[in-house]
Amino acid sequence: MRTGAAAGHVGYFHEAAYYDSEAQLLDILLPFLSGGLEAGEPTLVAFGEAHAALVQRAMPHLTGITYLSGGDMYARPAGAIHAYRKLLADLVAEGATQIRIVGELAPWMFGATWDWWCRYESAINRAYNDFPLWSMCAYDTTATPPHVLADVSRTHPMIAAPGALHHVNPGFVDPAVLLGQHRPPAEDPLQQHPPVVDLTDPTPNDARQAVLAKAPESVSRRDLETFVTAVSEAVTNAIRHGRPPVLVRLWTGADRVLLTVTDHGAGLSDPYAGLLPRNGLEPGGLGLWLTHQLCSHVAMYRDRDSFTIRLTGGRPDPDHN
Amino acid sequence: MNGGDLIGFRDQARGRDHVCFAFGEPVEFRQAVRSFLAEGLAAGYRVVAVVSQAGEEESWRRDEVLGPALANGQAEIVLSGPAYGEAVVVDPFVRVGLCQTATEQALNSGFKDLRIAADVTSSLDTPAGVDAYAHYEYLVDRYIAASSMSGLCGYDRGVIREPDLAQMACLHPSANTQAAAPFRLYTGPDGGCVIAGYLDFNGLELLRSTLERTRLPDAGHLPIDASRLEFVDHNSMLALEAAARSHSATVVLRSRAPHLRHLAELLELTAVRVEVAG
Repeated sequence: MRTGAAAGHVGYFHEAAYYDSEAQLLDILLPFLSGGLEAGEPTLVAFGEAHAALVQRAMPHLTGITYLSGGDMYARPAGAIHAYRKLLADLVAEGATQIRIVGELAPWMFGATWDWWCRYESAINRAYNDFPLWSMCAYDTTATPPHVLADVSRTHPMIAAPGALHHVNPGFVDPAVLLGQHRPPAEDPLQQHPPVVDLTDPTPNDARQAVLAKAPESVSRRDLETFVTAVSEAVTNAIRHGRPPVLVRLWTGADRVLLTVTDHGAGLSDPYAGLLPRNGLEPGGLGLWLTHQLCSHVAMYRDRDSFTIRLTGGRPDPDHN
Repeated sequence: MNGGDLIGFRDQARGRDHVCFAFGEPVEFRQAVRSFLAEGLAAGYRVVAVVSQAGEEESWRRDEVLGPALANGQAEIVLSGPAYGEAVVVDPFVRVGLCQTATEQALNSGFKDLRIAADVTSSLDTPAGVDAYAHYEYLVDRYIAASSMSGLCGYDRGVIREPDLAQMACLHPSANTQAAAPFRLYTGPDGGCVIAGYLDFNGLELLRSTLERTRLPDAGHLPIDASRLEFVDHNSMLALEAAARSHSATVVLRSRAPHLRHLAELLELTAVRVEVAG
């Protein structure tokens, strides 16, 4: 049985929680967390170190909260979806009738890689809808860039406010519509220079060998092998499901590599491609899902006569270490 | 031992030669046979050239290297008949048995090894012939790895379909450049299964047919040395999974690539396990 503001709701009850002070954040969180514990529901906090400590100091009487440390779970959106779906499935299998999670994205995610975290926030409306989940995504309005807050409004159907208030968000956009837009990402600074590899209709092996030959030594062997796997999957998809010519370009930086695969087909028909679990995906979907699990950043976009997937390996954000 | 560019890539790590030699002109094959058997003669092996026409035998008797060896009994010419070529579909186990008998005879005669060169093109005349010969190549490679025999198998590119040539090439540890296959599945010096090269979408159907034709054992663990496998994509991992499941077996890939284990975890494989060493 669902409780609180999510009572009667089926599936994922997804709220944005805007705050402009620690006091306001705690005001929103206290009834959410205490209500979950009182109802015997798994109640989880997925905050960074500072806000996790804030909650523990402010609510020492609330025992039974599970604190998720994040770590590699939030290394990439597809990984987070994969990990959370497993967590939620396990909790439901153990008898949970509702699960409450409050979390926050790290500020570095609002930089050059925000586009795919925005896709994450949109896609989870569907990805987590198989589960009785009530979650709050906390955003500091004093520190979050305006364009990010605009996307937060588009991706959260509900808003949680101080005073235990919850209301429908009129700015919410259906994920199928928002994700189908495939907005071009911000140009990576590396792309201001000529690519070090520029291939037309390469085989997947040609592309792999080219990346291996040109990758900087500062990219670890494991990161490089993982990235090469993603490159191979992307090139294979373009050959199998796109339209020639297939163009592969590689740029390299001090500790990162950037590669685009462009074909002259229509691109993806599934707006959730790459982020959602692999079952029932369109052709090439598993390879695309793996690409999203293996790269530091993935962007997909189309223009009038081509479709491009851009992969980043190594450090994903040129401005963030 | 290395016959240089004439014979092509030789897998030195395997220690016993089993070469796939694809040729466009008969003279190319004759030169390779001459080089391969000359190596054997120099090393004290019994050498056998399998020919399909009597005229070829006469030609070899006039050869400056093979001729004397034929005269003194170190070399032998076998006219292809029931042993090679004429049968539409070989019986793999019978054929390996013949190799075993010939090897033992050579050893009993005081030679160090037996080395055979044969044009086996006519064994691939039919789909059933290809199926059987692929199985034979896998079995004879297992025998060669553990025995005192080595072989060079000739395939006429003008006669054999390209997919069939790729199928044969991938079942030899060594091949010339005209016999290209993206991967090779063969028996290592320790008797275990080795896969070298790379496994991606371009070789996926070849991988599936190879796994089917080599007939994985039913049940149990099948360790595969994947240390020389440069790359594996998800389609190939799923093909290994499907093959293992169909035999109620577990494939254990022994690799030096940690990311391969991560890939197997993401794919939630239950019949393929990755062990990372080094």
